[in-house]
Amino acid sequence: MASTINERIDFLKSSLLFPDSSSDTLLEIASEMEDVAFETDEVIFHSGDPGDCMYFIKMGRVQVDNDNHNIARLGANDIFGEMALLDSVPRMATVTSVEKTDLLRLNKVSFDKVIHDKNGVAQGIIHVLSRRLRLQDQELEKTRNTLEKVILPLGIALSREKNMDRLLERILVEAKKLCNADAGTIYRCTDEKQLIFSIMITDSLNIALGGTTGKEISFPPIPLVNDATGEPNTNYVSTYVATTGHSVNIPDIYQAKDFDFTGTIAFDKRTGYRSTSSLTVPLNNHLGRVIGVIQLFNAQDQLTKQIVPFNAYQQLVVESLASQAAVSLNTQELLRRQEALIKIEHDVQVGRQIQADFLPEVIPQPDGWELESFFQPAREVAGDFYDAFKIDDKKVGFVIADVCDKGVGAALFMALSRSLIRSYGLLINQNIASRQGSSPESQMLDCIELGLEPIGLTNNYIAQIHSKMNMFVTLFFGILDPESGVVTYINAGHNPPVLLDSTGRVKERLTLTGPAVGLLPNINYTSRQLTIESGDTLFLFTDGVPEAHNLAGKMFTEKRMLEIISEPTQGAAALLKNVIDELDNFIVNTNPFDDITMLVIRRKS
Amino acid sequence: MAFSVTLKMLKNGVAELSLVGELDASVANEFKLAVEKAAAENAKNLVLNMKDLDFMSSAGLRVLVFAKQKMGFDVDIYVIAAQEAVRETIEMTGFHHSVIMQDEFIAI
Repeated sequence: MASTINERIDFLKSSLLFPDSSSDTLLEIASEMEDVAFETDEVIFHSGDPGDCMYFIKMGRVQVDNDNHNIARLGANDIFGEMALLDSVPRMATVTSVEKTDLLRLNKVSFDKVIHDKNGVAQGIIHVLSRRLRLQDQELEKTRNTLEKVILPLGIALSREKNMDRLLERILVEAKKLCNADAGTIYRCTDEKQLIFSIMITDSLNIALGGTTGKEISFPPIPLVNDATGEPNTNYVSTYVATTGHSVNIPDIYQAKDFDFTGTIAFDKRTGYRSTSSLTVPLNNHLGRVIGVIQLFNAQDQLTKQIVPFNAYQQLVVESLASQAAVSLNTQELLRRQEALIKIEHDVQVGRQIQADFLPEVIPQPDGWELESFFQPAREVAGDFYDAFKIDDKKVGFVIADVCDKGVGAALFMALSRSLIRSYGLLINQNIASRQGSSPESQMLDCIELGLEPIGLTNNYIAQIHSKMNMFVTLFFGILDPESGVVTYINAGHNPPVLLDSTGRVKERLTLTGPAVGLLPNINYTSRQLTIESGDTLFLFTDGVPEAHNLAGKMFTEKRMLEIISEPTQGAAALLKNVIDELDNFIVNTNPFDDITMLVIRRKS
Repeated sequence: MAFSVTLKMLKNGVAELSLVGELDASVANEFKLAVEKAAAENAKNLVLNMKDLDFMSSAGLRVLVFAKQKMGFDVDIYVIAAQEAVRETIEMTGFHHSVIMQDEFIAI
């Protein structure tokens, strides 16, 4: 709409650029000006455009943006673009009309003429500019203060907060303060893919619920996923933010078309509140996953107390605070893992002690017999196990076993098995256990299999292994009658022991009488017998012997083991030593791959 | 040799895992993950091609046990062309009763 010269002069007078100019000057300037009109959402000029004119706003509103950040909003009687006239640099910001806007434009040529001729004008301009500078300085000072005195110390304090509820509450309270927001809500994501209201504060209505208040929030949870379609729920701002991880800044929820605000609007109707501007920001954990949402309402202008939209700077601040949650969670997680590790380390030492206590101190040496053992665990707590014990005056029970696993769980299991085997050894001998139909040996192995379950669970907890079900035990259990030399045995999936005669010839391999324990359900184990004659040696071993690695990654092999033990020796101890020496030479400096366990039973000639 | 396992879905709901190299405790988890993938594909049968598997330790055996349990007891597990050492390991523990050992895969 065209303006008259007088209207323009009035305008010029009210702008601060030409306060003391004479009427003639003003007339001159006014006649050089042009009317320009813009519709809603039109760009007046872009950042980087050459600057050749300045604008006075007669009517309407414009938005000044730099780099997508909203710097300012200007309205009637404000001026903009004047810097380009003074400085000949390209536009520093993009100006867009927010609504229908009428402007008066003064171009550079005219402006230069005016400033050249009239001193007063120049002064007026300097006045405006220095005021601008001062304001900017104040802004900077304020920002610096906020950073130094509020945000940084807050960050430090938050990173120390171990209690998640208190941490979130603090974040909400501080975020509200920094944005001068009247209300705020914290939502948390649940495992059931829902958002639940965790903390709600509305200052002007004196509402404070959830968190440390102890007061319950009665609102129902909001589903994060649409049940029908399986798609993420983007209807509500809160769920949109939770599922996308993007912040949303809305100047007026009643004008917002993208989201469903029926809940908020209903709340307003009930309470007489007027929810206007909202800022919704995701809360991430240390893995970058969204664990909750923080939503602020109604930022207020410091001076006027009017409700204003949240600006870009405030959004940045809230996002920064929200990230504190991630830092704190990360710290907590690290501490928790450290504690778990210390516990495991402690448990390993305990396991080792348990194991050491359970190994036989002395192996029975019946008349006419030699029993020797060798036990070298690969790690602090082994998965191998052996035992030899007297069953009664005469009989001797002996066991060699391998839990296909290592660590504390394996050790505990072994301790349990050892006790079971020893007790059953006695029972078998007394034939007490043979009442039920399945053999006592079978029943013993059933017990061992049952023993796997609690030990397996303990193993999981301590050693963080995935499933207990994969544990199984290979086990060889024999009962020797020293007078007759008869051995009654069960081989449950274990490496077949070797029976050698006095010349070192392999007489027999004691192969399996049933599968490894824990491998298959409901097994009835059978037992077999053999006789150890004078001069014979029974050699028992675990995987660790044939599977020992050398530096080149080659294995010792069973073949080589058989070769060594076939060499005639003076006795059981000598035979063991041969194997040990050969193994040592082979392995040299490599860390032993697996536990190495051997048991030698020799009947003297 | 370095261990590798590849999953191929064959027709009729057969999942074929080809194992190469040496399967010990340090790589057992790779095998386990492959079994889990096969289970996720709802395989009706699991065929383990062990032609190129030179060695399997008890850790590998544990994964076989896991496979049997994960796939369900009504899913047949075939062990194809197991080399001597691997066959011995399986037979020594009695696990050959739980799997079908063949030189070439023929669905039963």
